[in-house]
Amino acid sequence: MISPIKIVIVGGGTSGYMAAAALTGLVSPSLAQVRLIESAEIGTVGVGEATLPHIKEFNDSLGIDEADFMRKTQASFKLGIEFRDWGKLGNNYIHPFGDFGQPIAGVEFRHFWTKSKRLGISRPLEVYSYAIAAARNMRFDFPSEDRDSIKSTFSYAYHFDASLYAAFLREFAQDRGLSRTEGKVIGVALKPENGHIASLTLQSGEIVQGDLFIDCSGFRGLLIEEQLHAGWESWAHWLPCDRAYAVPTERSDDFMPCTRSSSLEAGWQWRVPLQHRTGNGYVYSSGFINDQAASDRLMGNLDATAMAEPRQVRFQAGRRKHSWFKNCIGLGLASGFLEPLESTSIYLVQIAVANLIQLFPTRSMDSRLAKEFNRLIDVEYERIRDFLILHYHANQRDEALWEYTRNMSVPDSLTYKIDQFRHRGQILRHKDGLFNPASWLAVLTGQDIIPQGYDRLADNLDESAIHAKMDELSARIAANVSEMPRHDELVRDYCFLAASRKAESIMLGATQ
Amino acid sequence: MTPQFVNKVVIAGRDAACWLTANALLQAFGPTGLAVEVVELPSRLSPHDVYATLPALEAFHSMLGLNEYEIMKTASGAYSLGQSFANFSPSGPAFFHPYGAHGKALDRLPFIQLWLRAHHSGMKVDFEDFSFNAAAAKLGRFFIPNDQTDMFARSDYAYHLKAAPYVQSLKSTALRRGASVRTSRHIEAIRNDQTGEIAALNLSDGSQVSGDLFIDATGPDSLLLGGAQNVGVESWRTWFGCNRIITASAAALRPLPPYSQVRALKSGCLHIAPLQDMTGLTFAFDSTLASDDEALNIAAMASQLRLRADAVADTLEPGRRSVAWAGNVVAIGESAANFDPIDSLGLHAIHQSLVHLIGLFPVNGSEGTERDEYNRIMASHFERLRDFQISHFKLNQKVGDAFWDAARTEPPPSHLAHKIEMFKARALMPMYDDETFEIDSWLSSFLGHGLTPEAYDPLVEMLPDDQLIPLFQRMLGYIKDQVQDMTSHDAYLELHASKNYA
Repeated sequence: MISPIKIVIVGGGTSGYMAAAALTGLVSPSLAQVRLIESAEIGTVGVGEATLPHIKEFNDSLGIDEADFMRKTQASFKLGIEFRDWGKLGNNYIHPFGDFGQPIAGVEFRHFWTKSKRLGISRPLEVYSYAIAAARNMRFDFPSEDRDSIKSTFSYAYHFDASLYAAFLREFAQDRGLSRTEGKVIGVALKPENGHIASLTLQSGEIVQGDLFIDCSGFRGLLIEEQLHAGWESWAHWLPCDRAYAVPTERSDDFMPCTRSSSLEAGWQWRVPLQHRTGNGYVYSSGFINDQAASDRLMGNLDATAMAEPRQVRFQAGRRKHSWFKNCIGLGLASGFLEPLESTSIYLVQIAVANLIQLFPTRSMDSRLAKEFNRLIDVEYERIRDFLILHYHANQRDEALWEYTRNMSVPDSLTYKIDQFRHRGQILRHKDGLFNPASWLAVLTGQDIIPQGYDRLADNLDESAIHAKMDELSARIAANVSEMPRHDELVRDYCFLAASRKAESIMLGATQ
Repeated sequence: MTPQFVNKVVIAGRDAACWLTANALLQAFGPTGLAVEVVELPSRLSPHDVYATLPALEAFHSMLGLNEYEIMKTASGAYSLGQSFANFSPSGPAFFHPYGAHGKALDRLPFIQLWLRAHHSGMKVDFEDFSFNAAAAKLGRFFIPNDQTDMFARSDYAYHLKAAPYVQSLKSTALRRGASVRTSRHIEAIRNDQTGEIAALNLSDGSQVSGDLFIDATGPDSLLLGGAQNVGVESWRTWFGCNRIITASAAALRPLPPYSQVRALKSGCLHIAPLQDMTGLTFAFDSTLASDDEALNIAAMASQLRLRADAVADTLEPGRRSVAWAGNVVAIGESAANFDPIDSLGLHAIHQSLVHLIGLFPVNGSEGTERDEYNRIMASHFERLRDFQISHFKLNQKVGDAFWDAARTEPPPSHLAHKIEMFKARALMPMYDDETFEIDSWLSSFLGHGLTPEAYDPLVEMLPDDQLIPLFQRMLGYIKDQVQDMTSHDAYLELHASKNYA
């Protein structure tokens, strides 16, 4: 029998509690003893967090009840991200969590679209996306399990209050044996023989020993950087935004099941609709706008009354050179930072936690596990990085930031992808990492990179038959969407009506 | 509209590479008016040559509209559920690499981890005993995978095909589809000096064939890509000791084994591929250790078969051209990558090349973008295939045999090195883009060659001991029941795929 590994998580934000929930929910206490240390509650921003559909797998794997989770985190549904003014002023596209059309005779739908565009029968790509049509109409429903139905061609994510999500997971993990300590780490002892972390000293004087330390302390990397010096690789030259102002507003009528990202002169503004309020923020580059102007810009752009003063956050795009270093894993901001333009922050935490479970160590702390873990995490970071840079690079705006990002030299891997797409709509597929071809298609075409050619196999099919098929598809999408529930009503019913019915039936059961 | 640049493809070459290409291009682009002209060079096939294939060929054949049973009849074909590897260690038993998966995963725990734990606590049942394919092969049975077997574990099958009639049948199909053909004893490329591209080919009868895109299917000579376009070879000899190959044949085996055999010998590897009406033998060896005559004797002794007097010897130079597509020349088959015979990759490499050529068929006059992407993808495909082959040589335990000692001590390429390192740690199997062989094939090879993981996933400990053994018993019982109900390979062929099978 293996003796249980002692895992110490430092930091009680979203990352810390995602790790704690997964480790207590999926690993038995006979294999892992999990302890989390967090210092006294820091004032939370409460602006809301946007996620990717993968988060549902995470919650499902832990057996979390969706309605309960949504109610407790003030969550709404999310079908994609609406990009306004990206590429050039006046653009408006949605990057959906779903397909554009379906392959015809084994040929990807986008080639037929390109062909029809060349023939001058041009309709916007988005009329072939069910998820986009639903989002534009502020409607939502759960995907159908019938694979042949147009209603099965999307997935969904959530917007939620990240601090409430952390609290929700805290309760979950504590119910499953998480030991939690309020306290500040004031000292770290390293093992002289290998430089691994031996123990932490808390302000209370307590010494906390562990086999594996998970650093969720944020940017500073209390353990992984300040103690172990794992190293930092800056990507600021490609992603120059380094600050944000965030501010919550009252909930407005605009309850679109989408995150919104509006491109501004020195960055972009986010909008995340939650049940109880809306999260807003301006991500900007301090090299191109001063703080006051940025704050003013944000406050002038709000569509409802602000509920607080704007709060500033500072950051730098990049990643830790080793996410798992010695016996310490950096998670969340301690492992790297990519701006929330494509809602990847929580995904990166989730994939790191999933990889940790796949590569679960024993007390002997086999360094080969770290090697594989880091290979997988590096792929994730690099793929997301290229996708984010694309948003900045493919633009025709004339402000200084946008001129800079248009003219900067981008990673070869991205130049290659753009050239492949522009020439003939080719989109690379990879075994690991985000994003899938539909995502690339949405952003590339949304920012005016249109394929010049298309797969010649598309010429095998009769043009009028193809156009009839395309028209039928967009008509079917429109008809189905008009019957979907409104997003706001569905959230209310799903979170509250269903729950009250459940409570009622329990009460009835008790009285019978 | 931009004019479609490629209106005519000229395929120069011979045998499977040539005729599979003609079929694939006509099937894909014939309807849009692509013309395909074949300049056929004299075949290099001997009457006894066998194409051993990998499972994905079945789907490729059906994409080409080729009927499986018809092909099996024409080419005296046999089915293959996998490969038996013998003698790669002096003491270890033969092991079976099945074309399929092993056992059933439980929750998030891969089957290999469950098996390792049971193995550590003394269970003696081999990993391969949890494979349908291996169990069926050992009893001479054959089956077409169905929903029920797939629910338990993925199963697949491949073929052994007599090369000459298979090619003949591909040729007649291509001609029916509209390919035109001219035969020539040799070819000479005429280059456009300005573009460096090939403008036309001179044929032995003095005539000329021009085209937009040229396919080099000339085999290892690589007359157009290597010759006219001057693309060099990246040799793989450092990992592959065999530089010569003998093919021969013997009478058919009865009952007919539904698998092929690979046997490690002192100076190379012997491959035995059963067909309905004969048995194909291929012996790849190191010519510094044996002459052709000696090699033939070695093959006869090791196979214990009476070899017919039809043996042919040839050189073998594993490696790939640094790019598979240069200018307006795309190499398909051995002109692009030349594999050691182990794992039977020849037709598979052709098939992969064609799938990607079709997917990246030039859309207009500037095909540079397609060329870059094709070369990137094919280099990756070829190297992952090569890595799997190297695993057999790298992991051998024939200590004291110079040929095998050299293979074992040679450092592997980085992707394979990482796989071996991770497998040793805990049977982890990192997978990359463009892999042909799935996780279970790699596990099968590594375990079969005697590589032992130092540990298993600690999360397996969450499963109580008293659940593990009954779980394995149920799996073994299920496989046994299923295999018992399967028909024999002979009976299956007789029923479906034989003209006069006796």
